[in-house]
Amino acid sequence: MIGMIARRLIATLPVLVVVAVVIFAVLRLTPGDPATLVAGDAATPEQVEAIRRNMGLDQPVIVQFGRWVGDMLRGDFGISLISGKPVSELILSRMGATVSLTILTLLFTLLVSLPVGVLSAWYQGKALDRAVMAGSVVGFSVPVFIVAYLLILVFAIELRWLPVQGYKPLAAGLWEHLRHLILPAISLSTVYIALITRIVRTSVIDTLGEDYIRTARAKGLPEWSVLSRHALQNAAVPILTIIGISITMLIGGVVVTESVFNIPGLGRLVLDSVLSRDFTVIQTLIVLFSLVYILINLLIDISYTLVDPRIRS
Amino acid sequence: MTTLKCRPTRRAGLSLLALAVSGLALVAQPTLAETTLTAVMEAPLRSLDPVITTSYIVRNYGYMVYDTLLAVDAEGNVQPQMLEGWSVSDDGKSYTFTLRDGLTWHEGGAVTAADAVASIKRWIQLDKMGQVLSQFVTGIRVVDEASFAIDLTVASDLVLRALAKPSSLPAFIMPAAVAETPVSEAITSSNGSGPFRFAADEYNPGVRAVFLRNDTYVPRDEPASGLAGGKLVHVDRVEWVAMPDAMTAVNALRNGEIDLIEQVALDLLPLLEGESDVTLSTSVIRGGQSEGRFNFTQPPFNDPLARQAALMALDQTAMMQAQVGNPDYFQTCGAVFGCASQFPSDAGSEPYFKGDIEGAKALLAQSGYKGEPLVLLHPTDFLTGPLVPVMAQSLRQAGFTVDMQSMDWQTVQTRRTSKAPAAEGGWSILTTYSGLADIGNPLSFMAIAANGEKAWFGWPDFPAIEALRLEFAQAANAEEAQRIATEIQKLAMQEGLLIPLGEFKVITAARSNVTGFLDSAVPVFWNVEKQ
Repeated sequence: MIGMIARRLIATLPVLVVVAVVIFAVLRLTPGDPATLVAGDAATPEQVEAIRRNMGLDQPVIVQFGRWVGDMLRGDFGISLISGKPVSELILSRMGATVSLTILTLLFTLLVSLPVGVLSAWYQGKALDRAVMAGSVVGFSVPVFIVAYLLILVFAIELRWLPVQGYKPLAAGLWEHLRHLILPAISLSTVYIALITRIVRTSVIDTLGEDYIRTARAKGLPEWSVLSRHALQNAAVPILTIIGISITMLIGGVVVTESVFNIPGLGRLVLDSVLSRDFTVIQTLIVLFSLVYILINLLIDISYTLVDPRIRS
Repeated sequence: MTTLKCRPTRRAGLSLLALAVSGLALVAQPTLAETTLTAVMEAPLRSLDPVITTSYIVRNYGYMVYDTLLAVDAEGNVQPQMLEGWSVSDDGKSYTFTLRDGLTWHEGGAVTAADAVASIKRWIQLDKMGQVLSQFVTGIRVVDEASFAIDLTVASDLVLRALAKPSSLPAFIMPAAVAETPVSEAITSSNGSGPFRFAADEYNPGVRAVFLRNDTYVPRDEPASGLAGGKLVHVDRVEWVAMPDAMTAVNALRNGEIDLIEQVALDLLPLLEGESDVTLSTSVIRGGQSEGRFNFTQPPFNDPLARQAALMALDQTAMMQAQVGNPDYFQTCGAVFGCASQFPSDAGSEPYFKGDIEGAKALLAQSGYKGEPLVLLHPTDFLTGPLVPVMAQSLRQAGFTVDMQSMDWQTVQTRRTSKAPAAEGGWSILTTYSGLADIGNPLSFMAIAANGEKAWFGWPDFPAIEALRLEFAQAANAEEAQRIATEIQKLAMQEGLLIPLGEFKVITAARSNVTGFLDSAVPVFWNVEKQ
């Protein structure tokens, strides 16, 4: 196991190098000059050039790349070209909101999709199953922002139970923290609930047809035990895979949700940085996201070995 | 919304639905400190140098944190602000300014003449009006701790008008050590002497900016008027919260989570119009002018007849309907300095902007236009985005071959610096907008400069207009200034120097317990009270 983890971690290095090269090249090919944006309309070409020089953008691209990679290896992620603040500080100030939103979304997703998917499989072909299937189609067909606006209309504007927008850190109190995240997390989780419910249902239905399930029933095991200990555990691998994929997809999904609910997270930082051509921030964020993707995939692979002894061996 | 609230059965249904989904029937409302005013501004604050950038939100930040020597009141008169007063030499060529008592920096220490001189020297390099002024300046010198002088080559009150200009690069006064920063480097200090202190530790670029009342600020005795007069602060904190989604801002205001939206998205106004707890106010002075600009260096618009044909083809009403929609909030206007300005003449614009396609075709036939594609930059995420397709259609009907290229505003900002032919990455027409505070003066309105390479994008080169601008700078009285501005207007129309596309108003929405928001050229937060 340790050897596998070590090999996988080593394998991340070339992936990160490729990501760094590609993102750096893509940004330099994208139209938009941060120096022009910072200088404003009134600046003369000489003043724009001086700003470009201050930002280090007058250097050859290969020199800029080398400097960026060298600085990153020393733990220095650079300074935002637009705000002048350290990139690490900007990312850290936004990370809490995104992590909290992601965790709560996953929690909602799993709490709903696992039992509903199992029940749907159990009642395959019955009214409940058909209702769940219809609901899941709606769930992944309706855009997140529509769900978000509907939830805001009902729970914030009409009922006034929860706030329309904003984010409070955990330091402001657990409930204050959670109440700002409930609507965003529900909005964001709808598509994943729909997706994972269908996968759970299909996997459990496949497993319920296996011989060992029949054997378990023949041994006189109660149905709940057959479902939870035999069916669900054996159906876990594809479910874990889709959960892993969902987590990585969540990173992209938070951009819209954070914008609609005004949550100052990493999704909004990505959007703002792209729009303002803040190269140093975008580069670091993309590398960070790549690292998160890789680590999540590694964790999912490790989790396979925990639920399936055949993989472990 | 009101109807929904009045129907208990529906409400009960919603309640059940709510319980089913969230299971969280808690009714706590967001609580704000009594004297915290939370506002959503027109854009997020991302940088802190109000001298280096023309961004309006940075200018607004400047008015919170810094102060100006002079300011323009609601009647358009220049008034002292940080100054006790000024005197003029007998020949009218030297102005001596004296700072008033009690001015201190937020981080301690008195404001001195040396600070004012250093600040003016930095500002004069970047501001268009400052650059005109610099042509007449022979010296900016400290006289004593509280006085400084500006010496000119001519007798002119231009120095007063320049130092009092409200936008977009006002002459903010900073500590000398900060003001000595080269103009190629953005300052990061927020040590001003204005009515608010910037809470740097709470600043999150693009998310939130917090301003605290400056308890050491000594306001003037006169009542607040425009950007002049006493800057009395009635709230402890002002928080600018950035909201990328306009709908979220409107919902947050309806829910009482924020106190004010500086500029409401016009298409969302119906959501607020029926709200009893929300007050809407319309401002002309904070409104703007949508504008187009030809690239004078490349075909087809290096030909005056092609430019005139385009002006004739365009239909301001149709374009404003696309951009604004509701006719209550826009007006057509052929005056390059704005119809609500000191110089509202629209002379020379009579044949234009009415969608005269036949007239445009006739003019185009006389020009040397051979059907080469013109590149019309279409910023999809910018205020003028909706009117550009209307503009393209009018130009096509007149006989132009139009290549409308859609892109984000940041790309437009880079693309417009290109002097290449349209087919090689250049451009032919761009659109933008300016606040009315920026366009009302031939010296400060940067798009009116026609000095070729040094002019704003498009690089028009019309020495006659430049001569008139210099003449304007030395105008002896208001009548003469009016005459010169009208001459510039006529020439601007004749040469197609600028394409006025129409004027729009700004709607501010506030909770009804918020009062005193001044209708000045810049949104400011002194005088504002929250009950």
